[in-house]
Amino acid sequence: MRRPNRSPLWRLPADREVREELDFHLEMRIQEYRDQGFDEAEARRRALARFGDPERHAAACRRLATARNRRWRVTQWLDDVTGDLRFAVRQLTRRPLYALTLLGLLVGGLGTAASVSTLAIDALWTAPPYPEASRLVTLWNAQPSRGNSQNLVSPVDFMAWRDELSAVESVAAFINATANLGASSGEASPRRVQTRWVTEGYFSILGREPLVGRHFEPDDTVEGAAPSVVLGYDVWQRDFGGRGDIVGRTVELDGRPNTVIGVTPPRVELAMGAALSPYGDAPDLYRPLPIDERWRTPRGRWMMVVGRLSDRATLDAAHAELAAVTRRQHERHPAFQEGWEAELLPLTEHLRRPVRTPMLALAGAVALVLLIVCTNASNLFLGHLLGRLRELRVRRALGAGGVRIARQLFVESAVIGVLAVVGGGLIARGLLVVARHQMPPELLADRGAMAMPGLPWAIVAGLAIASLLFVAGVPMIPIVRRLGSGWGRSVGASRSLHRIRATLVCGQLVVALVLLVGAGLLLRTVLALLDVDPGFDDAGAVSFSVAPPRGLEDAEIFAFYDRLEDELRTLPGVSTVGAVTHLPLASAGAATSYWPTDREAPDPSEQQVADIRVVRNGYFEAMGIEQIAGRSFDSRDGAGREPGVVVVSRRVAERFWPDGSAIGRGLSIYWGDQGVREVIGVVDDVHHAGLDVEARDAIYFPQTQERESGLSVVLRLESGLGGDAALGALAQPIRDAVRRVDPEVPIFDWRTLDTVVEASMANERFLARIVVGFAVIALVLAVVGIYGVTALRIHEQRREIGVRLALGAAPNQIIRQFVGQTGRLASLALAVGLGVALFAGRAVESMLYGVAWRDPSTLAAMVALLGVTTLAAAWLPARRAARLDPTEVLREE
Amino acid sequence: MASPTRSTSHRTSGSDLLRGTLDSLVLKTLEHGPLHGYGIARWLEQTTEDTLRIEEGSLYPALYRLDKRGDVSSEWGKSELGRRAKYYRLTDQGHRRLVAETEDWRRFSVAVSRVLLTDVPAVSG
Repeated sequence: MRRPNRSPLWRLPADREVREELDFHLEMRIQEYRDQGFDEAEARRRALARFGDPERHAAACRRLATARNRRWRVTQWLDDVTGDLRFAVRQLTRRPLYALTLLGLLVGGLGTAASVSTLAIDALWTAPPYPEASRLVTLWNAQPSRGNSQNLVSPVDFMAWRDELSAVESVAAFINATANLGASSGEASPRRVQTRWVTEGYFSILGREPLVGRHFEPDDTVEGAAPSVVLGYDVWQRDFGGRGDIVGRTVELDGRPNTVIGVTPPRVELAMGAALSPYGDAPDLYRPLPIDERWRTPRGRWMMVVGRLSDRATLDAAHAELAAVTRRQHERHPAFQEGWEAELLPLTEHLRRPVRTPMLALAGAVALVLLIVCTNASNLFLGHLLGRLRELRVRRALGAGGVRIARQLFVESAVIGVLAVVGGGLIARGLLVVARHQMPPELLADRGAMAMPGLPWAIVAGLAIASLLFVAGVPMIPIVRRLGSGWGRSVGASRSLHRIRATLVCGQLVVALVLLVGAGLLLRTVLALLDVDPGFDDAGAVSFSVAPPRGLEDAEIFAFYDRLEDELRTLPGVSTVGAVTHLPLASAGAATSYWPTDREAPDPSEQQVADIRVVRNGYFEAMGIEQIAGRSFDSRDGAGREPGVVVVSRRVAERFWPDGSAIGRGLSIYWGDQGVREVIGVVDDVHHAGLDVEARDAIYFPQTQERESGLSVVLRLESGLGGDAALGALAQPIRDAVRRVDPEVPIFDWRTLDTVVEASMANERFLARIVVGFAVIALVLAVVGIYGVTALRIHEQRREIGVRLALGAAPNQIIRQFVGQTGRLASLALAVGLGVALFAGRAVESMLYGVAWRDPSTLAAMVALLGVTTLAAAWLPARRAARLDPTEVLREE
Repeated sequence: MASPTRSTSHRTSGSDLLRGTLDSLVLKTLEHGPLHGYGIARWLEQTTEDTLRIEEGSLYPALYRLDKRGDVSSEWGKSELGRRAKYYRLTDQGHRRLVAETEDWRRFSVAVSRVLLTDVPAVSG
């Protein structure tokens, strides 16, 4: 490349340059003619004749000169920046430790912040992937008296909403279930799949066109229609190779043929009511749910309902209309509707509400980490500048302007910034991949923002600019300003930089304390959860689920389980075997209201609600649920026995019969009928819904009297055989045993009981792990900051320390001085931090269990931890100062 | 070589040829060292024995064009008589262009000479 002309030529305005040059030429010519003897006027005439019109030539030159100057200026500027860049790279490579530390801090901070921001954007701001998703609403039954705002819906309400709501243009109901997808699909053995039964209109409400074939039409959803099925995209790809001629083919579900009528586009699943649905919520295929007039009877609440607002209707109008319909429903079915209301919630709100607090807490924590990273980086940069003061002063003395020096420093930061963006973006993308696999599914929305390749980079770049303005800007302002006024010659002048440093370190302590308190509270939550007795023994037991084909007679189902249990009992190491409809902590199950027959029954809404579990004999023993009174189910409790029998949980017995006389009493239970059943035993309370939820009333039915075909089987191993290895070794023998009983029945949900308990705390553990990690980073950075500030202050006062030591000062005095200085700084920071931490604790209150948001012991412990570490960080350099050899220090100068 | 402006349309195509050639002549002039515009004019005058009769003012747009293009660089200096004068110097790029254009000219002039200086037999019809 041509080096631009470095003479100040271009600073001459183009017109002056041209005029001067042409004048020179003409004057030389005139002189020449004069020398030849012409008079002045003739010499000028001849020169001009020879030259041509000076104005015309000058104009052409000016145009060219202006264009050239413009180009030069750009080249000049580029050249300066290239020089600055080269200089910056040299500065950084000359101090690799500084450069790498600064870069590492920024890359880590930016990458983490960007990945968490992406997750938060995904969970809280990205709309579900449906057209006009903001007009989608969910509708629920609600029981205000029990604080239950999102209950499953009764068909009779669904039908009323479907027929009478005009603000909601259409509603659809659905339920999740499972089925055995037959081997004909290409798999070697039948496979358990998630199914969703949907009413007609479900797909059009979501705004999804079928990818292949058609979706359900009214004719498909009438009782008695030929069984049809719409395949989910993934199943179509996986089990049927995405073949185009799928429509019209037959697939076997639970041993019965179903005709495929269509395929949904990918990602159509509505992840709704995850906590309410007894099964997983990503359906593999869809089946028609026939709801006709026969369902217009007030019985049972078991559907989820989704709708789309009419074009002009507001949410308020929909609410008002829903209230009117609810009033009419109360008049139509006074007993059934007693205590029940209806609730309408935008789908986005329904999806976001449960993740809002954890995601915001996570985002807050990562923001604090980024803040502390930036203060640390800023501090580092400051120290770097202090080390370069001499160089900067020399350059200033050599004529570099303040702006010039600021630009140089800016280019240095920009080099760091660009590298940090590249590194941070890579880290962010990596962390997102990890999050996709490690994050509890309830927190991971995965609605598309995560998949946008540019988003993390954009966030990193945005954050990097903000961070660098802070990191480089804070220390740079006073430096550049003071360099201009000949600053730096006096020792005291660097004091203002020290003040900035101290402020930064104070800020770090504040942030660290907030994070430490948050981590402490979450850790206490996890510990408290670990302390909760789930009510069963989670060690040394394993569970899996089976579902015999539908359509079996009761006797065939019982025989299936009898044979299965016989096979399992013969396996080596297995001590007891039982089975239940819904394993505690693993999935939500059914619940209903009940009342003892020996008391006067209040209104249904006032009656007690109990979780209903249907179990096989041996379930309590296999689960390790303690029998408190009476007996467990056995062969006496057959299908024909009248009245039916139940086992109740301790809470039920103690509420109604605190004197211990529960056995033999009758319970009236709204379960299909309002039949009366006899209590034959009492077992300990079990946490079915979650460790952080108080155990609720539970009533257990024997399977023989309450036919349920799909069960989770529980095997307890002989004591001492509880290791993971023993459980793992059982997997194949169990599969073989099931196959011996019925080769067509798949087994699924294989897991040990302790993983069930662990998984139920996944959110808390995940958050605690991350926030504790953040807090440790913050603590380390704060300690490094304190250490650095103290060490630098000591370094600058070496001479004074040396003199004082030489004059006989005790080393302890020196230590006390420096540790004291830091201590005063720290106590101020801790006081501020305590205030902020209280505020922050309030924000995470809803995620805590077993500990208050302003738990004094946690607060005190964290203040003490941070205080002690801070003092230790100051003490280390102070002790070295006290051991200085005065003669050596004084000789140094 | 593209001509930068076509505003002087009253010129004949012969002048266009001359203008392109003028650039080459200027470059050639500078081959032996820096010169100011007046010096270039004098050199051309003496070397061609004033046969080309170049309008001297048109040298300057040529110089500015060459300067902008990077074929020459310019710098203020002192003239022989102690006056401020702008000196032009051939850049590496200008030097390469001079070599190339000299070669082009050689080929062009040989071809033209071949045509013009050959006796053509009369062709009937």
